[in-house]
Amino acid sequence: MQELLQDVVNAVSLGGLYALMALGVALIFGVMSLINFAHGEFIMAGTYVLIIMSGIFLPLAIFAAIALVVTLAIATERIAFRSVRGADPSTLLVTSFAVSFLLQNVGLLIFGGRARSANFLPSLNEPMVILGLEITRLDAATVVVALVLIGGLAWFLEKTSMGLEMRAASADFRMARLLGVEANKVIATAFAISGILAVAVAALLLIRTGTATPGMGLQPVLIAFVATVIGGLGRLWAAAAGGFLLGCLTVALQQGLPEDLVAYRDAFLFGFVILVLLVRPGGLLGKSALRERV
Amino acid sequence: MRRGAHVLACIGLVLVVALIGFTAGSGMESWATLTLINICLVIGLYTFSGNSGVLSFGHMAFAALGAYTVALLTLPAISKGILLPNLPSFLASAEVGGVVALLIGGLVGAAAGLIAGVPLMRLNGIAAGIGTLALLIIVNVVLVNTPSLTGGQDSLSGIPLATTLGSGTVWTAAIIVIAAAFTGSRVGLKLRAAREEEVAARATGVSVFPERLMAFTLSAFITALAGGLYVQHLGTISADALFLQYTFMVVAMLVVGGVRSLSGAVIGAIVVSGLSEILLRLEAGQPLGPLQIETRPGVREIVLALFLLLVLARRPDGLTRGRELFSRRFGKSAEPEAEPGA
Repeated sequence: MQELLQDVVNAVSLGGLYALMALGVALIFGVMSLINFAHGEFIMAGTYVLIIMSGIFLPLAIFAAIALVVTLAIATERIAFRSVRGADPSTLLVTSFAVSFLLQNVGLLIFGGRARSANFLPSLNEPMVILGLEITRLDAATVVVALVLIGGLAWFLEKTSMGLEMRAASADFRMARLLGVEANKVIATAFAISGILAVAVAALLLIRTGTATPGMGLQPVLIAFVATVIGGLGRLWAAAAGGFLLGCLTVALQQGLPEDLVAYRDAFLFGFVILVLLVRPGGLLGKSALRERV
Repeated sequence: MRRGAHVLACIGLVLVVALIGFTAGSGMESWATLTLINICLVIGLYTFSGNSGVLSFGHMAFAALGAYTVALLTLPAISKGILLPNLPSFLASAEVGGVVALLIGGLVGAAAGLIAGVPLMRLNGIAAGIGTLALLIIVNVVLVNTPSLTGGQDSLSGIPLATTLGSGTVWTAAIIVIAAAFTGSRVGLKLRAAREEEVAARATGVSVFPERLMAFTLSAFITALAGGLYVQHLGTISADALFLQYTFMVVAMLVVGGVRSLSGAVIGAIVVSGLSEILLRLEAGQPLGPLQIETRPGVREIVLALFLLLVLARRPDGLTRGRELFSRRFGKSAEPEAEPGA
């Protein structure tokens, strides 16, 4: 029982982190059907800024990271993605693949290939014991940050006119434009929000691992894809739920797989992705079919 | 123009690359051989993606399978005893010739393509992109975590070098002929019909899935063969050498050349390989004619990515605009042909 509860705590904490990763990708997919590989590099950039500023006043570091990553996200959209907007999905996919590769190597050029590390908020890694469960402050912080950001995003989408326009754009982009939604503004806003989500992920990852490398964005962005696909492409809350589900699945596989198969955990996860795509191409919680009607 | 003129043109381009390798010296022989291998890899991807219009990020998995198969079959038994002591006995003692090993590697890739294709070929668009990416990661995870077969994280080396510039040229020409024959076949035509207008193709009796599966299996065979050529050229292989970075390069080559034509695959591979070599030499501090530009690691990748983005934005159908060399409409605007290729 105790062990099971401990696993649940780990799953929820991991799931919160994964949900934040998934939301950043799902938000962009919603407004322009673009699967943004470069989201991982937004996280990478945020992590480096936090490391460089880590000695300084904490809110300032976080503010600097948000400012830089949001600028980077908007610039990426303006320079690379705007020119291919509306192209077929494979062109968009290849474009974002190229942007990700580009930013990763710019990171390599600026910061070098060796890992950089910093003690970022080390006190959060200390465990607290609550009801016999070992919970690090980081676990609690992850869940709180995830809930606050998801709640904030939900408020933004439901209660502001920009949020309304964004929801309209994800439902039917062309119709929304005909009704006066400014495409450039909505898409830029979506990129800005995904930048903020990327910084949150960067901070939480940095507390967990303490290091950054130019290639660090790959793992989170793959997790984000998996979570988005499992939850459902095109629905934000489904992507967030997919993140939590993926957290649970990861912990369950880690605990449940026979010992000699644990090394292959990620192979099982990605096998599950293919299975979901086959059985429910729209995701477990999404629309049941993606095929366009004629 | 005559049917098949573009096949001769493509083989001509291959011969030009080979000629540069034979005559230019100063490491150009290795560049030419690697360029030929890249042409084979890109044609492998073209055979599937070009004909079906479905994107694949997973083909490097087949190249890796082909490469490891060739490595395990051709490594001398003594080295295997040291590098891979836990190898199953039939592999530990196996030592076959280079060509046989290549063909077996290709068949292993084809078998993997057939098995993976059964679920994957039911997917379209973005789902196919993610599904094939998932395949790439699954194969990589398995290769890295099965040290008894692959050496795990470490690379295998000492594989007999059997790919020369001459043999590479022959293989590349053969692969061009195979890919062109498939593109011109009945199945290829059905596939392109489904690429242009899936609903209409289904309505006229193309069932799409079996055609895609055949193309996927054949392209897996070609890609695995190219992976074998790669390992026989370098003599060393690691799971991460044929993973995301190389996937990016191959996808970039195909997109730059033009996804929808065989000529595009060949031209894209040559252009990107050439650009890549020039940047590599700058990085190493060699002067380029009268120019001497110092660059740093990472610059090569940045320039390549920018080049790809430029092509995507300005010429999304690639340098060939999806046409074949010497076809009537080569270089004209990008309207879908009534009967493409052939």
